[in-house]
Amino acid sequence: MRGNVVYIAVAAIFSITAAYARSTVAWLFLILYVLFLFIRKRRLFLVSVVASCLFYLHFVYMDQQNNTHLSYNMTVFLFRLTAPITIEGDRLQTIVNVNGEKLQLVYYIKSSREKQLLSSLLTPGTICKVKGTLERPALPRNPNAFHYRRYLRFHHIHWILTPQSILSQNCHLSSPTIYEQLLSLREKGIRQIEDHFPAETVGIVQALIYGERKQLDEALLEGYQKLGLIHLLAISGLHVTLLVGAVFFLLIRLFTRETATIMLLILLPVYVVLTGSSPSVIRACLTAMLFLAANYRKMTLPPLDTLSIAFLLMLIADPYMLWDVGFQLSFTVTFALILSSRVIMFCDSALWRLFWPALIAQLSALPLLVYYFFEMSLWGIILNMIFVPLYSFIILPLSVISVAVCAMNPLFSVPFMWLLQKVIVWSDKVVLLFSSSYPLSLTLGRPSFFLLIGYVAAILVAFVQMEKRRYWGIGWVFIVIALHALSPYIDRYGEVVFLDVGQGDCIYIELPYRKAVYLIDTGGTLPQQRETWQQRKRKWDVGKDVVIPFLKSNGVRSLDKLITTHEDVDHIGAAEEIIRTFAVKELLVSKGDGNHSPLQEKLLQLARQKHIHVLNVARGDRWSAGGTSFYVLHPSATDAKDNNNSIVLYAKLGGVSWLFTGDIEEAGEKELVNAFPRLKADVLKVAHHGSATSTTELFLDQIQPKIAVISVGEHNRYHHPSPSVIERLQKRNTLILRTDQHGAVRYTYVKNHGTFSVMLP
Amino acid sequence: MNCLICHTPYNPMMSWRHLLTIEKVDCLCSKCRHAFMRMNGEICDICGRPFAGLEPSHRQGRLCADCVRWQEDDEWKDVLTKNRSVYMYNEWMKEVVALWKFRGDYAIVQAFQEEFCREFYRHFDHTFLIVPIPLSAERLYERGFNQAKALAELLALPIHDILTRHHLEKQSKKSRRERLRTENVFQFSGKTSLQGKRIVLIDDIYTTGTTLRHAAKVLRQAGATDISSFTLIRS
Repeated sequence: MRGNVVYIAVAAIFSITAAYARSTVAWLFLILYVLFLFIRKRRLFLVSVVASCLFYLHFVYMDQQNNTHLSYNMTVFLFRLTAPITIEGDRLQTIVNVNGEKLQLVYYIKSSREKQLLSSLLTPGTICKVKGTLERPALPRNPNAFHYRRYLRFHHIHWILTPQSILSQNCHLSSPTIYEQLLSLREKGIRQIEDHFPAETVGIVQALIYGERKQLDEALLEGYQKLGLIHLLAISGLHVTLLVGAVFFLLIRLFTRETATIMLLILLPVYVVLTGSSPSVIRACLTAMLFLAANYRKMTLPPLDTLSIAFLLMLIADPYMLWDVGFQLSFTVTFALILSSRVIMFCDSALWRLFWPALIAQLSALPLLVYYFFEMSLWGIILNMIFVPLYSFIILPLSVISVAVCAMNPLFSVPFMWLLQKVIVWSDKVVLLFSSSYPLSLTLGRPSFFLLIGYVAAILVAFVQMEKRRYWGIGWVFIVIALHALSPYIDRYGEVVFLDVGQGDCIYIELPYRKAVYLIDTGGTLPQQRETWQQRKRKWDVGKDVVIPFLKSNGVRSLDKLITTHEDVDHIGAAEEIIRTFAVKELLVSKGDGNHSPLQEKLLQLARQKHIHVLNVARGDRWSAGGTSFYVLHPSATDAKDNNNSIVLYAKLGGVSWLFTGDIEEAGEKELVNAFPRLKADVLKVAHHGSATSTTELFLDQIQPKIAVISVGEHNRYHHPSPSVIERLQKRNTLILRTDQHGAVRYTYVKNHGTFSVMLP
Repeated sequence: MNCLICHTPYNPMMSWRHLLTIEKVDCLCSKCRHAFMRMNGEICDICGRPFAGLEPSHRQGRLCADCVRWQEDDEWKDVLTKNRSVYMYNEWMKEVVALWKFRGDYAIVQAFQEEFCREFYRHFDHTFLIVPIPLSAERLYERGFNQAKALAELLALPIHDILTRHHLEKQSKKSRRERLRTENVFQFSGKTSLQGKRIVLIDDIYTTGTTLRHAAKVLRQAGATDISSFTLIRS
């Protein structure tokens, strides 16, 4: 068994996946793997089969138990806080326990006084009685969007509890468990850093000491992520090794080796809780504990076995971990580094010893990074060579010393903090410079199943070749990357997607073989008037959170045309962000009366600055690409104003005729009908989100749409779509697809045939 | 996992090739593994003896003095085309051979598998007939296994047992002169003619080359045109 636990770990991966997916493919992989063992590692065959069965049954059992005992109609709840609260502006979030079931609690604070009150009142261990409502967590509303419901379910949470109010007289502190006491201790420590440390360093020191990233600047965090440096801000093997080493070194001055080992074995679980119990911390501490325990028994454990045992233990405790991004990345990279130790040991120079781990880590994490973040950074390896030693030998030790000294006497820690501040400010500058000005990242999009297999195969070949010092083996990985980057251009499918951007429009059109990519409008978040205490550090933005992730997940690197139908925020609000993120070739604006709103003016200025070709279009303009023609039917370049100045587009895609109407109203529709008395369309993008002032009887009688798509936000303040419009459409037996009810509406086609699909069931 | 030679527990190095079972996990600990000395550098064209550390007077061009002497003798000239070996003889090897051959730890042969095969294919290929040097019946009974045959089996090629051997005194108790003088102990026992065949003799060690040349001579008389030898050790 020695040296072979890794094969059991792999068996566990396949059997849990098969138990979850229950698909033929998953089963096929499990069977192929067991066959592989039968042929190549016969001694492990039986053990692996037994382990696979056990993991399979274990998961099936756990999954069956993972159910709710609560129901919609509950209104009164007695909950116990099991986690520290997070307050962001006016939103309070935490996890609570009701009758032994975990719930996600979201509460909107009503006043700044209440905010202060609650932040001191609600500590782990508090029991409260509230009135509130239960809601199922959201399903993804757009393709490749985050699956919040599944995410929470994997954390054994099935409901979101929204209390009407949290009153102090209904809350009392019960005696907290040790776990909850540790959490409170952690909160205290985090707050201490916030109070004593220089502002620039707070976020990073909190991340390094307590694994807490909430105070980190959003742009900075994004920068670290983009450049592949984010692992430095997670507490991982490197931290734990350094810390355990240092503590052990101190302890053996005072105690015997054995006592020191036992003390560390007790301290490490405490450390896990204090650092937020992220998968990477658990992994690192568990391997450290296994190593120490083996050492105590005067045994040695091969590193690969140690890691595999930690992996298996974590999966036994919680098989859903397998889907945790942090878990996946942490284990993948560590496995790869251990297996590649031969390659790293080939070289003697320090520079190469920095280069190889950076390359191996990047290479092994590549499929995961591309799958979750849709892009890869080319800086990763070089920057890691600088930042890994910087963090391990300067920033981390300085942070630990500063925090330790600060706990004793804040005054003495000043010189350390000063030095730390200098280093962190410098490193932040470097990260921001590279991530914003020279990101050098390649957007690839979410890889298909076959591409993922291609990645894994190519990376394995590259690692095997590198062991034989055939470094060109890495070329295989580049071939797969190139294939991935070119895959849209050999894809015969075209698609039209009405993204769910809430209240607003955003329509994505991709022609077959990616002959062209267009975006009609971008959606936009309406600015809200908020008081300072209500403002969140990270504001939700439809461009940043919906449109850009969607485009990136589709592997879009450039837009052939960005069509802004008119000047409203809900149509062009996110345009600026999109122009900054993607290479936009042409920007189409309505000719209209020539008056531009400030928002539009800003956009045009940015376009000039980025040398984007701006086209003023009106009736009579047309273009074609990949055998498809697009006609601008409106405005007629006279004196159209506001909504009636919207660009109206007509095109035939996938054997279906489409009319994209922007926000035109009755006057615009009338003019359209008069100008094109024979105009018909199969699919009508209902103008102005289904407002009663558009989509008139006259217009519908003429266009005779079979399908009407309404792009509208849930519970929007304008009460769109109007019941009268719905009635008019229903009267004509038109199929209505609404983004507020169906999520994104998608039409995928090959040649003249296609199918509509919606995100929500 | 315990080392096959020193029996101490050790952690075998795992790599991608091991994980994917392209390469077998080493059955020796790294200390034992590194104690073996592989043949490298310039060697004698015929007997494969390394020139490094050899007195210059023992070398004549591309041959060593011993091989020149063999070549000068008309009876032995070109009987053996060439000999190649995997390891050099050193104190460590002496111990391992004692353990393996004389104390009968047959399993140790596994430790040689990878390098023995790799070296074989560097000098020869599968078209050669593999002929292990036999033991006499008495010696085989005494030892329990034929070390030459055990090595030949590592190659996973067909083995041709076409030689037999009379019992004589142990070779290692004789001087070179005595060995040269001894009559040929081998006989050809094959059924088919060796006309035009190329042969590789397999043995554990090449010391003076007498044994191998005696065997080669018998095979040459049976019609083989080209006879080489491949041994684990070159002393």
